[in-house]
Amino acid sequence: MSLALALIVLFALTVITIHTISYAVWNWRNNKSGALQVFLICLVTIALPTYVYFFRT
Amino acid sequence: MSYIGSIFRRLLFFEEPKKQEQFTLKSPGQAQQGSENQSNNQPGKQSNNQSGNRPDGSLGLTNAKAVTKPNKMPAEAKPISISKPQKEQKQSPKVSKQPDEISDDINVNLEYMKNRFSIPLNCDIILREFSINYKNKLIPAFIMFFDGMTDRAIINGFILKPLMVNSIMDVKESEYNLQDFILKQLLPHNQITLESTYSKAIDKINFGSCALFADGLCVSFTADVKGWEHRGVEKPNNEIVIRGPQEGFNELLRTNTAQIRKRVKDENLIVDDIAVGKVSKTPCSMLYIKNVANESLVGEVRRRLESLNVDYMLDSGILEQLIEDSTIYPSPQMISTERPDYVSEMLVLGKVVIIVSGSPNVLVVPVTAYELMHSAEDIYVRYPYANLLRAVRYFALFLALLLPGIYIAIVNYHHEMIPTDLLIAIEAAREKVPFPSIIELLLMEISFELIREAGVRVPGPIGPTLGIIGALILGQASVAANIVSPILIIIVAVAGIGSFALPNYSLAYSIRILRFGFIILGSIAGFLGITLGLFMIGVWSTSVKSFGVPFVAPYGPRTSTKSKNTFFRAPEWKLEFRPDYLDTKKKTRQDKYSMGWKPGNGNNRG
Repeated sequence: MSLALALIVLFALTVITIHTISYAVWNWRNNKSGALQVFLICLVTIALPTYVYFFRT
Repeated sequence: MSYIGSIFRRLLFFEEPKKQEQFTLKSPGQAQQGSENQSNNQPGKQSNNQSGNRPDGSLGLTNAKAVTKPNKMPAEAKPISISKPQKEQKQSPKVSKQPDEISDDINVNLEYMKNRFSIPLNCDIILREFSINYKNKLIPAFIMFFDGMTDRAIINGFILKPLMVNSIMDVKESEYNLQDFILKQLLPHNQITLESTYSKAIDKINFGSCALFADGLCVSFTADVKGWEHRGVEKPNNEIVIRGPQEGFNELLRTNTAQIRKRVKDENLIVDDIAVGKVSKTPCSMLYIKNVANESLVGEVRRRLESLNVDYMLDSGILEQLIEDSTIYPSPQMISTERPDYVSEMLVLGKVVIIVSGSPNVLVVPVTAYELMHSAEDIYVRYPYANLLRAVRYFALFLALLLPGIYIAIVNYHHEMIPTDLLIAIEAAREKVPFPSIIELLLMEISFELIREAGVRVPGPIGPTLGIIGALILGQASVAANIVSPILIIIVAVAGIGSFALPNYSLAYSIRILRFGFIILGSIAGFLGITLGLFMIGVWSTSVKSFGVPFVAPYGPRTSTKSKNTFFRAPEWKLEFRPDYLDTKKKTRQDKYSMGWKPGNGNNRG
């Protein structure tokens, strides 16, 4: 996959992650464990593709 | 710029939802608290205070829109019936002060009706003038009806003949005035109504009634003499089952309601008529079981139907598009069926049914994603068979939605996913194909859609020819010409067969659309793209509601799983509960020990 495509995919994932994190922040008051899980999912959503695209050899 | 900024802001940051933006189905207890002004027999009947229909009385964004519409409607609907005669009044000076009220002067009425029905320009309206003998006086009168929409034999035998012939017979003098004389003595028809306004009389004539006007009376007698040609009760064309009733709906409203009523023999089954369309006034029937269905659901369906500001509404397909929750979500949010037995089953569960006059497709609301995968036959066969069929359907859904996308992902990015021999076979077949695999796949998919569309439109006798052309040209010739590889034909054919195995026609459409999306995602980002697509559809599906019911209930949100008829179905004796997400008045549909004959169950205990 070309670098440009990887960047586009990562950009889309970043937008989704920011949106989801803001949801988790909103949800923190009512459901702390749920919010934590959402944080974790967000982390994985960004970290895994980044690793696959740029660090995996 | 600020608008674009707000779009980006909404895209990036989650906003706290405004309270009760969407209609949310509440349990009957909660609904009653907020809707004190609803009548018991007709829950949610249109009231001026629309918040009465809302279980919580709140006015969110969606509510605010919805509230203004129904309030507008009576105000707008009224002038339609009144303002037109006002215009006519200017043309015909004979009509006196209140233009919509029927005059006692027969000549005024005659002139007015001629104007409204454009006589003699309009050729299928029949106007028959005659005299009624009343107390040895000849009273001028006339009847009007549409030729072809009415039963001439009934008009001749039970309206004209009594009025013209029987009125001469001697009756006790002064026992009845003229109106009662006609109503009680002369017209033996079983459905006569008195209308005091032109607009109501005209509506009745437009819907197959015969209107009688007599001199000296400020009313019109309208007799229901509908008699148009129609289809009989036939086999449902698009929902064929091997086991189960073979009757389908037809285009007649009352035949359809009767077909349901003969199955659900319950006086609590309410058939509530609502006219939709300011001009067409298409009769629609809303059916529900009074002591089962959730009142707020019934009220919501009624609110949506009554708030429609359209001129013409001619079919349930149009109505579906006008009352569905999300117009952009690809999957249908209500079931459209032509099987009365299936509709009856849905009514018993606590759903609401909408029948549109002139349409053989009946709408059932609300619906969940899993119910779209159910077939009418599922309840007629033993549960292991039904579950096997459902498993096959889910597999078909997977194939129809994802197979081409997965193929393109594997061929382009994930060679390691498939056995080496198969990979070599695929690559060998593709060796001579000059196109990239995505072009090859799109070419085949589009050709397949083309054949499918042509197959629907092609006249019957040429149908087999189209099949031969499709099989030969697409199958053999394109492979021989090295335009596509043989394995791709198998992929496209299997995906096509999968979409045909889906029980819901509209769902199959949405899967066809999404399939193209997955092909593109698979070609851009491989399995990651497909996963991303599935994730997005999953997120989208959880935010969609069908008449207040989450689309993926009872799993998202997780509710009670007492109703054991979602992915798969339990044996018939175990289906004790109605779906929890419907919040029905009666939670159970049968006793725990439904098979009383079994030792240890019910009456035979011990």
